[in-house]
Amino acid sequence: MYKNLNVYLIEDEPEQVSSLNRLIKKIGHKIAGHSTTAIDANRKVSEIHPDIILLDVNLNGRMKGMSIAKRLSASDNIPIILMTTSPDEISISEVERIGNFGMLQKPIDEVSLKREIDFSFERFEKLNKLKQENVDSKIHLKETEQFFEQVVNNVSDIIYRIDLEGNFTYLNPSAIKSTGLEEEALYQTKFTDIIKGNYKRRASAFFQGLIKKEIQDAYLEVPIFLKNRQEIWLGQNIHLLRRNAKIVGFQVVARDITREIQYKEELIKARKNAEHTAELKSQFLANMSHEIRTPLNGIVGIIKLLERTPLNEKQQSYLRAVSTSSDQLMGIINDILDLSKIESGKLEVNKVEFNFNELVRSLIDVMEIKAGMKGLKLSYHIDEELPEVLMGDPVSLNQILYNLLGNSLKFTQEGQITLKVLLRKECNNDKCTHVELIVSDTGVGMKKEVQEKIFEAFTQAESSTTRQFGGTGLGLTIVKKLIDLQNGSIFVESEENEGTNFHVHLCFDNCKVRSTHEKLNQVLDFSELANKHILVVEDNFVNQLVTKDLLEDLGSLVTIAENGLVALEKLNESRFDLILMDMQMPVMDGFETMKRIRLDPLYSCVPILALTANVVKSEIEKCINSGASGYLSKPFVPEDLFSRIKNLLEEEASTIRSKTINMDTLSSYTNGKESLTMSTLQELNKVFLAEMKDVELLMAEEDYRNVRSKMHKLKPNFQMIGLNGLHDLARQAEKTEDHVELKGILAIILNGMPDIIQQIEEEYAALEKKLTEAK
Amino acid sequence: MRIIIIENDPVFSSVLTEHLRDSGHEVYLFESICAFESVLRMLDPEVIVTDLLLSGVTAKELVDFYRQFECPIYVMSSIDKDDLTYFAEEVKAKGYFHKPFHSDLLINELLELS
Repeated sequence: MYKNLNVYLIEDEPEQVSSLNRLIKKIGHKIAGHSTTAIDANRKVSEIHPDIILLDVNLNGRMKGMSIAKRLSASDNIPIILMTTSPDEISISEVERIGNFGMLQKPIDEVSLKREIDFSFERFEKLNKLKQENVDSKIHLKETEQFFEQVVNNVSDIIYRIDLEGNFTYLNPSAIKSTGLEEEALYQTKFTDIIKGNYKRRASAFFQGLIKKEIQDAYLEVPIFLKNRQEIWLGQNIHLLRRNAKIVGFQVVARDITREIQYKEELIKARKNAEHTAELKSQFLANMSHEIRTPLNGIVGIIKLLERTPLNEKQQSYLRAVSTSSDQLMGIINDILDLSKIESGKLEVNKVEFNFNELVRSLIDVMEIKAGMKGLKLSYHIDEELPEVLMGDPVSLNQILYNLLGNSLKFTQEGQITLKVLLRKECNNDKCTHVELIVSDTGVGMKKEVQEKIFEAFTQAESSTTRQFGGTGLGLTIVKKLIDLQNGSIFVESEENEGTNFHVHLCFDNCKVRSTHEKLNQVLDFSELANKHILVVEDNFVNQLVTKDLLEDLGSLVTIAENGLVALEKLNESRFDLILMDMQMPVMDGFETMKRIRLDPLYSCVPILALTANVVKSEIEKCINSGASGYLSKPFVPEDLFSRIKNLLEEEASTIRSKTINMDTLSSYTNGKESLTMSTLQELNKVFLAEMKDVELLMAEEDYRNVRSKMHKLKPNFQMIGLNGLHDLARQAEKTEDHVELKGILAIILNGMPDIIQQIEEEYAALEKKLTEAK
Repeated sequence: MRIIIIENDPVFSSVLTEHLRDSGHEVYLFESICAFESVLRMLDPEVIVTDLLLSGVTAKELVDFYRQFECPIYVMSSIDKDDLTYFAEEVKAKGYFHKPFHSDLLINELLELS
């Protein structure tokens, strides 16, 4: 293995010297030197420093072989192979005691010499390497210790150790500095002594818990007192200390988190304030919405009734103007509510088919009257190639144009206003139509710096502008936000005293080829409302009158109740097909009334249409949660009211149908296997009977949690047998947190169950008969 | 395949069990994981099909319980689909089914496994 090693020979027998010289050369090594006495060897070896020594242990002279072996081994770090004539010449224990030596017994042959030199030199190299590594690791360990000591001593974090009694066993300089206490005093203090009063027990229990559950690492926040009684919060990373696997204490790295705690508390406070403010704002909007919409609803209703009476041409013209104005007033109210909704991210853009030309013409009709009053000329142009019907949000488009034209009217004293609707063919594709709307006026115009701010809320050209021209300054803000919502764009061109041009770019989806006439000619059929007995719960006399007349014109039978309490009395006297429910009424409001109605099994399923002047989302949810089947916001056009009533009556019929089991559905789950279908019917019957009994008991005990759990379990069973309506109700019951709503839903489910169980029994009997006959 | 079903809805479990047995599988039905745990080592299942909401066990415990298995696990539940997807991922399930479902869906999945 090894070659060319310098071998030093210490041997006093000439024959041996000669033989070993030959063998050493033969196995590829060199003779570094030769001594016949230990004293000579001692001197020469230190000078020559060979790679390995062959030493006869039985040397003549004053110094014996083992003596020189010990000395050379200790001083020169050279591997030595001891040569003996007999193993008795040397004690093994002595060899082991003084160091690692190789051994050869004379006579020595080539093979054993080579093997022993290789083995000894390899072991020597390995030992040297290990020694070096040991030295290196000691140096490294020392450096690491110095590094960590430096870190621990200079870090701003507090580092300390405590024993199981809570006595400090180590404190880094930062810990001592932070507390402001004397080092000696701290070492005589327990950790819990510096913790703030009511947190002492909590911290103590926390540490005990770590020991008990042997949790190696944990985190704890506690307030502590400093020397000057100032309080700070420490966030502590706690680590269990063990010695021989036994827990002996804790090592803690802590940091002052007082500011974080303060920020957190301030954030919580700020969030609560913000939530409270948002709630107040929402409530304010709800109230304002109701207060304005209720009388407006009366106006719109009376207009619709007036339209049905014989009027001369002039009266019809006046009525049209009143109608248009009330519509616009409604639009303004919606503007204010919409801005609030846009800002809170609640406004959604709809996509419905609408007649673009008609929308523009209708808007121009309204604005023309206003323009005429100021002596201005209002003209418009619509690109002839613009499709008649497009898909988009007409309400939003109307609002954009209304606000832009209104803005021009406000700031133009003489001259004209023009609306151009241009088709931007270059941007069109199969799916959408790109439209540019340009509103131009010859008004006061504006400076460049004003143009940059006009889309910001509550901004007008100057503070005097509001006084001179009126308005809230919201119009253009709403326009910009509505356009942004539709991924459109708007820009303005203007010079002071030179007028203004607003350019709006919007994309609308194309509709399937269908003319407006086709749509217009669709006859709305509300004949299903004839002979339906409808209870109108409404306190406002005008609204009572309007609703009653509209419904009676369709042949419905209408009963009026002026508040919720009267409504409950009327429900006891007669049977109704549908209830129209106002929400804000004296004596008993609509929410409470609906909850009570839903508790009556007779009316647990009757459709209730909530009529609300309040379109705020939270109020609508409240309506539905109180038992409404649907809602309609006031003011409404008669067709909307009729449509909603018609839909609700159809839905009710469908719900009744949904309480009919569907054997095809069940068969699809049993793969048409009749024996399995029968056993499943039997199983369903058992489950329904047992679960319904349980639900009744749980409801009596007001154990709503388990009632919801039962509903969860029943959901797939309802679906397996095609009772999708009941599945939806069970799902609703599972989710609701409102006990009144839960009771209402359960009343519907429980009322339907006897009939369902009977259906199951009948289907089972029919299948049984069929199978018996087949046999 | 040796399949363990853990389901406490007797209606659905009886339908599923019969279909799987008809398809040649060896099926063992348990109403809870407690009952299953006691015979777990003996059965050495190749596939586990389990409901997610079982009485007496929290979702967390269920997740921890199923994580010890290396065989494919299918979860089924009538909870909302988003929740079901979430739990299925937590359990590291091979697949999930929204109840009620047609047994063929599971049988096809098992065919792909084998």
